[in-house]
Amino acid sequence: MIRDERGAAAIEFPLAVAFLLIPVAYLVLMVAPWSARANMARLAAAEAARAIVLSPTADPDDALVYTLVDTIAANHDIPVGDVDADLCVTDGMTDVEKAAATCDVLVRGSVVTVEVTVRIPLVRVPSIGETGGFSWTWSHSELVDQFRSFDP
Amino acid sequence: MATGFAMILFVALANLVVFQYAAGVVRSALDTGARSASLLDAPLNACEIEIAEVLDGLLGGAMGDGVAYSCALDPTGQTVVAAATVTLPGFAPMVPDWSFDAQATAIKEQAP
Repeated sequence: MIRDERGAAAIEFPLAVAFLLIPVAYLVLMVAPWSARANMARLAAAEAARAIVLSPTADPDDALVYTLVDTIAANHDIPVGDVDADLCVTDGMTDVEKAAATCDVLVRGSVVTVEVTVRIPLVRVPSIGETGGFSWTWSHSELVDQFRSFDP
Repeated sequence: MATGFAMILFVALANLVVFQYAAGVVRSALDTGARSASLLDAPLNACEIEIAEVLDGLLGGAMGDGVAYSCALDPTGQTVVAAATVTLPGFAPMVPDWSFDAQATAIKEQAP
């Protein structure tokens, strides 16, 4: 018996597009922002640590560094609320201590470490919203130059 | 005909992936450019030279031609700002061009 398959494409095509092509393409597109946000955290941590060790005075302005991190987040179209920076953290600090840590006085030859945490949404639909997610933290350390001077 | 539509749709979706890649390249180029001009003895045009090198290496052809960029010091002279206006052409006739602006900043080293 020969079955008549005329008209099958009219059903198969929308089904294949709706349940196969678009979901797979969406999954591929969804992974790119994860990488973009991780890269932003890496860059922000590096720039923040660098800004601290390049401070003209021995007492770096933390507010300027936070502003720099916010600017980098904005440059990457990431909401500022999704980014958190902990300045001048040291090994063994708890999360609470890291959040309260400030950069007091720079010492030549010391190491300054900055941690930047960014929230990465699991599923994000542009113009609609996002759900789920996880956080990713990048740490970067810079050495305060041994022979640098400080403004009085 | 269904196969033809599927191919067009596939190209359109692949185009979105390429757009994501291009946006990442532009951001990376701007970050690298701003950082290179932020060194103490680096001239400002080091920024644009570095951006051009990154774009030549990673985003050639018609897509690279759609990137216009410039570098400047902010009014205080403490920050290097690299900015780009990007227009990426769509692959297929039904895929619109994508335009966006991007910016990167880096702290300029100051002489002690």
